[in-house]
Amino acid sequence: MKDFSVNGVKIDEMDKKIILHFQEGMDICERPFLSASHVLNISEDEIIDRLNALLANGFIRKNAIATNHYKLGYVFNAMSVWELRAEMIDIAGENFRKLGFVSHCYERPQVLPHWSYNLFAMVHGRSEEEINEKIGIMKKSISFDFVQMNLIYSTKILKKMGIRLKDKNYV
Amino acid sequence: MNVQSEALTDTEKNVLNLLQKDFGFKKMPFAELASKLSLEESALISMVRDLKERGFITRIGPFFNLDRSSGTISLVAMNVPEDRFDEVAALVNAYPHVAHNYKRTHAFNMWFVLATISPEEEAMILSDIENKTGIKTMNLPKLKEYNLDLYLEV
Repeated sequence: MKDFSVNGVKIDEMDKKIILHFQEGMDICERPFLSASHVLNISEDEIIDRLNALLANGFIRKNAIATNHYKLGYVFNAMSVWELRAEMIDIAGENFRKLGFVSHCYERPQVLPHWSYNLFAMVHGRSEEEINEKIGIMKKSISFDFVQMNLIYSTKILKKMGIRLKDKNYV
Repeated sequence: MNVQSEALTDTEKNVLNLLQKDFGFKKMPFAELASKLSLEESALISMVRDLKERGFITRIGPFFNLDRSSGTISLVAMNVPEDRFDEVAALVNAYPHVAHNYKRTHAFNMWFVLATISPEEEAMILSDIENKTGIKTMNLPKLKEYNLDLYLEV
């Protein structure tokens, strides 16, 4: 059987089975890993050990709930895009992360002349005012040192599904 | 705008706030969480099930960092004429590799996330979309990640 290397960390077939099993989530019961052990045919302890190892090596980010933004009232979802001088990108990325309310924050390439924004940061709010307030805090956090920025709101979800690992080549 | 969240009790709000943060992998995760919330384990379990049924919680479990695995995840933008928008959206959405697709307020009005098993597959799908629609795709792969964690205070 093939071993899979992830950032230099090897995961084996059993890790793969565990990942595929939990991609739909875990049972909501007293012993969720005991109930998974009946399906995976390994012990509850081994499942927990392996999940902790996957957490330690960064393959898993956290064990938590995912919520529905809209139901929680977060109906404004803005993609803030920033054009920054190259030497400012890291500073801005780090500062935005520290603010705690930016969810995804990535450096992406410029595609000149069509696209000159090189830092993306998603901001969520229960009102447009909340978004604007957060953007103001972000601007301040980098001492207003940016070339230009823009707020791009989503107006319609055309498709939304979790990225699935079903394709066995994927893990 | 905040109509639905008003239907939540203070205890439910506390549950939603606490459980968005990593609670690790414990034998009895709900027992530990319940004690932090001054709830009985069984009451917490019923509440989490109920919040899931009502759609406030969409999933509970490990969050995988998919880009740590082999494969590519990219953000792709297109500038689609309004009168062709639905047609192009249907064509793009038909690829199982397209995870999210949003209409957005910009000349680049279609933004989708493309997950593939290799750079070759990614290039193939993008050129396929361009050939079928006659519209250029702008591929914006992630160069560096500063943050990926969504926490919505309720």
